Order: sequence, then C-alpha cells, then structure tokens
Amino acid sequence: MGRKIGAWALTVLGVLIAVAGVAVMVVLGPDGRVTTGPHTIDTDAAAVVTAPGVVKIVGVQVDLLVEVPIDKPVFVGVGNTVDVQDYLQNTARVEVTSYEAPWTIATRDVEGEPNLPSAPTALDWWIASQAGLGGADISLTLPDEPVSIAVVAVGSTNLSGLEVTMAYGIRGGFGRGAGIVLLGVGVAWFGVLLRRHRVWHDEGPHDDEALVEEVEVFVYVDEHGVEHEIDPSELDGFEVVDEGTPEPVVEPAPEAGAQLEPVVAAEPAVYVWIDDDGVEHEVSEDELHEFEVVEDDAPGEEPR
Amino acid sequence: MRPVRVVTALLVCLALVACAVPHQRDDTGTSKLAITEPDVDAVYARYREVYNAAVDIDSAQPLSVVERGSVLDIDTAAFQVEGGAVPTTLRADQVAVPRFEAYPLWFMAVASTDDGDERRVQVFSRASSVDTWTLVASPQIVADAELPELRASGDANAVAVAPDDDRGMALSPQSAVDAYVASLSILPEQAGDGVAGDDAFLQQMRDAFGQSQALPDVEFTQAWGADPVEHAVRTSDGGALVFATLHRSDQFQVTPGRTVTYPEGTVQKALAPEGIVGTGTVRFDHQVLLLVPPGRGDVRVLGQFGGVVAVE
Repeated sequence: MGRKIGAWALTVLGVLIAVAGVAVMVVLGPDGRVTTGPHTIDTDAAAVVTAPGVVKIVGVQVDLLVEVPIDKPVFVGVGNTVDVQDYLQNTARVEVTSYEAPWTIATRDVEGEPNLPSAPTALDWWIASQAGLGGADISLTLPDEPVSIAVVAVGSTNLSGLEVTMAYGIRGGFGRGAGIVLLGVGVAWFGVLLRRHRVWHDEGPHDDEALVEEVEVFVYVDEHGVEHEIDPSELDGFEVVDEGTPEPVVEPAPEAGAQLEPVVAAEPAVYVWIDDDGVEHEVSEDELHEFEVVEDDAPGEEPR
Repeated sequence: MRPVRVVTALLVCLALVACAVPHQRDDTGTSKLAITEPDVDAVYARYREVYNAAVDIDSAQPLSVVERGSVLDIDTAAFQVEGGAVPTTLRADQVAVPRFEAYPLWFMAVASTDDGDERRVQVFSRASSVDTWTLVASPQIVADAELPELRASGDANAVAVAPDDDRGMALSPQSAVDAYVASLSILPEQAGDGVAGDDAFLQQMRDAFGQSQALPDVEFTQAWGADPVEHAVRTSDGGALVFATLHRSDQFQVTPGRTVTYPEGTVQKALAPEGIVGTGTVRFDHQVLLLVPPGRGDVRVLGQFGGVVAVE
C-alpha cells in the first residue's frame, strides 16, 4: 500500500516538474530571456544607480543597454554595492529604490556634487562595465554578492534623454527547461512503472512476494503411470480428465553455498500375486515368504 | 532497484536542476571581501615596481603612489641617506583578508624577501573606491617568528576588530596601544609594573632613552604618542593583533657652545648635518605590531618598523 502511494507521489511530482520545465521554456523562449524596453529615465543628473538591496537575484543573465542622445559619452557598470555606493556617495544621482520585473521601478533624487570623483573607466573593481558614445551595453550573470548597477555620464555631460533596454533570463534557459521537462517525464514514468510492479521485482531474494507465471500443461499417463507432456495441438487423440489450475509451487530458495544434487526417487517395489485366473493381488513384504519372487521389470514380459 | 537508490537519484537530479534556477541571495547585507588573492599579487607587483623605480632614481617621490602615512614618512627619510634604500623583493606569503561593509578596505599580509632575510607583517589599505592600494603599516618580525593563528569567518580568513572592541580581552586595541604608550613614557627606573610586558622593543627604547639622557651638557626629555588604531585582526584564541603607529619626540636642550652631532650614514646626520645646537627635536615614527592576548595578560610587541622622520 505504501509503495503504491509512493508511486503515485512520484508520478505527480514528475508531472509537476515537467510542467515547470514547460513553463520555463514558454516564458524564456528559444533565446532563453525576456526583453523589456527601451524605457526612459527622466534625469539630468550625472548618475543613475540602484540602491543597496534592489538587485537581489543570483544567477540571472542580464543584458543591459543604455542609450543617450547626440552621441554623449556614457558608462554602464555593475559592481559590488560597497564600491558603487562609495563611488557615488557625494554625487547628485537618481537612485532606483525598487524594481519589479519586467519593468516597474521607483526612483528618488539624491542631491550632491554635479561631477564624479573620478572617471568610472579608471576604476578596477567593476564586475562588468563598458563605456561608449551614445550608448553602452553589458552582459553578465548576476553573482552571489550584493551588487549595484550604475549608469554614469562620462566627462562634463549628464544623462538627460537616457533610455534603458534590459533583457534577463537564464543562460541556456530554453535547453534547461527542456532538461527539466525530460527529468519530470522520467520521474513520472518511473512512478508509472512502480505502480505496475515492474521495477521492484528484479531482485527476487529481496522481495517478499515471488513472481509466479502460470502455464497450462497437458500430459498423458501411460499404462505404467508415467506422465508425458504433450503439445496442446495433440489433444485430439486424448480424453481430457483434469482441467484444474495447478497450484503454484514455491520452491524453497537454496541456501548459500549449498550444492544442488540431482534427486533420485526411490520407487518402492510392488509385489503382486497372480492367481489362476490371471488376476493380480498385491501382497505386502511381510507375506512374501509365502511366495516365490520373480522379477517383472522387462517390458513386454508376461506377468506371472 | 531499491527504493533508496531511486530516491537518491531523484534528489540528485532535483539538486542539479535547482542549481540552475536563479534565486534570491540569502544574505541581504552589504559587504565585500577587501581583496581577492590574485589581486594581492598584483598589489605587491605594483609596489615592488614603484619602490624599485624610486631606488633606481634615488628619489622617494614615486613612493607616494604606493605608500601612505608613517610608512611613507619613514621611507622618505631613509632615502635621504646614501644607500639608505635598497631594491625590495618582498612578496606575500600569507594573506589575511577581512570582509567590510564600507570603505576603507584593508588586508594584512606576511611578506618576505626572496632571500628570506627580511620578513614583515604589512597592511595595505584602500581609503576609498577611487583610491589605489597603498602600504600603511610594515612592522618587521624576525625570520622565524611565529604569529598567532587568526580567526576566520565565512569566506573571510580574517576578522577585523574595531578599535574600541574589548570583547574577550582586558583591553580594546586602542586601550592597549594607549597603555603601551604609557609604559614607554615612564622613565626606565620607574617602568616594570606597567601594563606592557618587558619586550625587546620596550627595552630598546629604554636603552635609547638612557643614552640620550647620559649626554653631557644636555637636558633631554622624551614624549610618546600614538595615532588612532585603524587596523586590528582577531586571533583564534580571542585576542588581537593590533597595528599601531607610535610617535616619539626626543627633545634636546643643549648648553650654549655645545652641539649634539650624529654619525655619518644616519638619517639624523642627513636631516641635520650641523647637529643640534641650542634646542632641537628629533621626531621618530615607530610602527609596531602588538599582540593583545585574550583575558588578562601582558601586551607585547611582535615586530616594529621605525626611524627618524624629522629633525627640527
């Protein structure tokens, strides 16, 4: 009973995993990511930065494209929050205080110096960064550490007209979704096999139930009482006297180390006395002394 | 197939799938390791490059790129003496990197020269995100000195101790330094019952005090001070290794007609070729590595780096 429940649970789990895999494939699509934007961020400050704790996800592949008009120099980078916060702490900036996928953000303006303390391109702690004229883009998998994303105007310009396009997903996400589907199908199929008793029995000695295969056997008994197996197609010449289902016979398992030897049946000798009319009368061994014992093994020999 | 094997295989598969799924960070705090070990090698390579370039041109001017504070002051003074600065081959043998929530960042390294003759416990610091790594402490220890094991925490192999943190110790790092300065300030004949133990540095300073005090026709006074503690790490037994910068001021009141002079090849001679006439002050900086033991015990110096930084 417990095994059946477990089998059902596995089947259901497998189906759920497979459904989750399908969902991943559908959401991410063949390129494994979701794209949103371009989105305008209205500011004339020199920097836009995510506040501490806004980027909380680990392992997501993020592609970020920032664009500013008239080929202004712009920089986009991702760095540890400790570094980014220290870098921009005295600079007038827009802080993104919350983010919800695909693109719902809350911002606040922070007053400060109009210029940056140093060119962002001169710093060595960016995890990923790029500068460009009119636009810049980065692509990275978000690491397992607190990070902030910063968009910075390079030189004496500002970020007016800033547009941000973002894509996020899982690197190889479609393939991973397919893998999850396959895993789910495998688990479900295993559950089905369990329910059909086809998995647990291949190690017989460990199971408490023996597998019995029922086979219908036809035999005829000759005049000596010996049984001969015959093919069902040969039944026509015989009278079927017993159609009962044979009882399954469970043979005791041999003990480890025991050597199987052929068993020779000791057939008891039958003694008969033949009267004058040729009728046979069985006699016991105790009465044998009253008779003369004659061997009668040879086939076709006349009884005496 | 046994059920246990099936379940195990299933769990392994699910774990592998889970690894591929993005998730939220467990730790919502903001912090970072001061530096990674490969970057430490780069910091030392840059230090050697700049320091040796300064030696090549016989000028301390480039040193401000890689040194700061009293290390820079001591080395700059040493450059005043011909042959006072020699090329360095220092590289880090052991690195202790704490985790910080804000700048300044710093790390400690035990560094030695290629020939093994010189061994130092150094601190490199990064004052802000736009600054580079600079050497701020460099006490020298004897080649076979054994430093206490440091306490690790998570992915950080060192734990920074705040200057006023006295947990597990009789004195906080700052209090220990202040007590040590108090011991140095006591005249030799009065010292002995102070907080600081009778270590080699203490003895050396008392000897120097005695020599200066013994000068004829000179009235000699000495004053000690210390910078606020900035760098301390927890030892595994609950104590702390504390880096301190001590300032020593030797004041000479020389009888008119007499002069205090110094031997050739010394920084004092380079900074005051005519010697001290009338009144003069020789200022020293001493960077010391203090061991503050857990519980109640003597604070002692494990290493020091110092010298004259000015003669006024």
